[in-house]
Amino acid sequence: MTKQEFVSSVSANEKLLYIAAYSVVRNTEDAKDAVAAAIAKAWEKLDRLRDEDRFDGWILKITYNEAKKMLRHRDGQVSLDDVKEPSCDDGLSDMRFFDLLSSAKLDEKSRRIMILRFFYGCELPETAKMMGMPLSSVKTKYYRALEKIKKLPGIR
Amino acid sequence: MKKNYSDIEKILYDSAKKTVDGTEYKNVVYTEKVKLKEKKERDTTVAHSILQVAGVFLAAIVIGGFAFATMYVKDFMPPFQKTGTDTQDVTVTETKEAEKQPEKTNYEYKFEGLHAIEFSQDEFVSTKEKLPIEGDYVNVRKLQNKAADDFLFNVYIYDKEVRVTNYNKVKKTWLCLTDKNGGLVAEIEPETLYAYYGSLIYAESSPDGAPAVLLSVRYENYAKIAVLLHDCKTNKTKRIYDINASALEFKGNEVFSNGITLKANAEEGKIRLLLSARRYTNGIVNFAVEAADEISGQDPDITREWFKEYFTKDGGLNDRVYRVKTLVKGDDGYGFVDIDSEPLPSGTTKMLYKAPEFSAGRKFIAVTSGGETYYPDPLGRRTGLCDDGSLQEDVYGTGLNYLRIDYNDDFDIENNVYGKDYRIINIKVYKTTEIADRSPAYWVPEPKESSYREYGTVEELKANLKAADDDVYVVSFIVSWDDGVLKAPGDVTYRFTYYMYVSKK
Repeated sequence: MTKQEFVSSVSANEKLLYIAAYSVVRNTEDAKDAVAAAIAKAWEKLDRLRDEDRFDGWILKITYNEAKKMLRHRDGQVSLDDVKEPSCDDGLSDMRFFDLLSSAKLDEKSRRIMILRFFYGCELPETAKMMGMPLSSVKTKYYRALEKIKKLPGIR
Repeated sequence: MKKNYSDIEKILYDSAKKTVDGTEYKNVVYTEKVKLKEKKERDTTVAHSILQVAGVFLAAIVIGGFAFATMYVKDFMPPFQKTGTDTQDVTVTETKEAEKQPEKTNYEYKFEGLHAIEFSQDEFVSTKEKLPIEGDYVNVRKLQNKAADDFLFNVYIYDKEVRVTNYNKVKKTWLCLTDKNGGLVAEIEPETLYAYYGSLIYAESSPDGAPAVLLSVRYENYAKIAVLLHDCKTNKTKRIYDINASALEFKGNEVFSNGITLKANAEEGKIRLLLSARRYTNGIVNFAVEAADEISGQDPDITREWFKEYFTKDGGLNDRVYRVKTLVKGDDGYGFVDIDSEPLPSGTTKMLYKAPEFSAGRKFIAVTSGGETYYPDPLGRRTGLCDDGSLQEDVYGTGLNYLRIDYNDDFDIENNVYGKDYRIINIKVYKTTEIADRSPAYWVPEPKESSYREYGTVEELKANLKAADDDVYVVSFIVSWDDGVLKAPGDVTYRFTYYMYVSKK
């Protein structure tokens, strides 16, 4: 992947990466910083990405990691599972999607699967490919996540 | 009964869409902000390697060798098998360090002078044979390297007393390497040895500069597998990678005999890991081999090509007779391999790997149009009949890899499997312009059911496409090369689905 291709791929993803980062750090500036750090890291590690079809899933994962790192710097050692209900600043007007994921206490892989499915519009086989996971595992996590969300009070 | 989550999915779609639509975000073009350093132009043809069948069978050998120590593999060398092309990097994490320092980044192990060893069996050694180690030891076994001529060392495993309290001693299993002259290279302690698993690599120089031994082991009642790095200079061993059996995420009641096989690329100084596992489900022993050539982090993410195959045992657990027909994937395509076994008078079992029925250098189907030949990747679906009459299904393959094909009047779909006719299960076609909800661009294109056209033959499909309007058509083509009959527990059938965009524009 050339620099131009990289820039083009990142630009197409930037908004979604920002939203994903925001869902972790819940803060506009930190989310932007996390995306910036993720892009820098992705560029640095690009030669480890051998299948360019997986670029979206790969950079999403890096963004998640950078956002979590940002969170740890800010709040001390906090795992993603410990992320509390949002105290929404003016970053995103509608956080219901992420609120549902938080309330359902989804693990990180499940969150990424849900983001790829509902934000990137990936079908499950495509999601599996991007995540580098067996399709059966993705399906299991996906349907477990839906089941958990379905059981949340007041979901409908 | 399958649950319906369409209402939840709609809520999630709607809320995700609201989030996207409601987010004021002007692309900040971080790519400029972060000042990407110019690099040398990258190789855009970076290996998109498919795990070689050789690797898979190594993993299979590990499984077989472990669970059925007397089995051995013979006479298998499929025509598409390539060897010695392990050019993959692998990144592993220093586990203990990672636990203490979560932000520590993975680092790459690079070695010089790699010698890889896979053992076919072990044999008891005369108790008179002296090993260059201290203390009393018994039950000495010498591991037989499959490529003995290429290996510079001998490997022994033995029981040795270890003081566990001031008063008590217990026997534990140790492992040591000696050079050809009997000199000690490394002795690995039981605390880190756990149970030896069957693959080992000697590195003349490790990242720390000292000779090192890497080996795969299992522990915690086989629930975990790990890679150990033994520093021959300090005689210390540390765990550099480990994985829970459940990380392989097989479906089924029980997963066991998991293993990591190490493969070395001496030229690149890199080491590759192959994962393997076996499972027992619903009364059927399914031999599963899964392999990955890059694994990183404590939360094992398998980020590279996967190879997956399932062996279904035919017969009772104790008769050790296996008849297997399995699909294997080579660098250039797919092929069936017959795996059979025969019990020997000694009570052991000989595994026979027969050559593929047809060359896997061919793809299963070939699509021709405009003088071009296309080979779409299949999405495979394997259905097995369980003892209790239920069906178990596994899906594997490259998934929704839509191949784009420029339509021309000579459009055709050809069976590319020599000597076997396929059975068409279903052909579906729809216009992409009839796909609902195509905006915004990132939503999943869901075709309207009414837009499908279904056909039972390739000729019908060809005739329809020929007469069709200018458009881009999505074609899903589902075929099978077996009769689809499941009579007895253990029977399996395979279906292959191909997706393609056929452009008439």
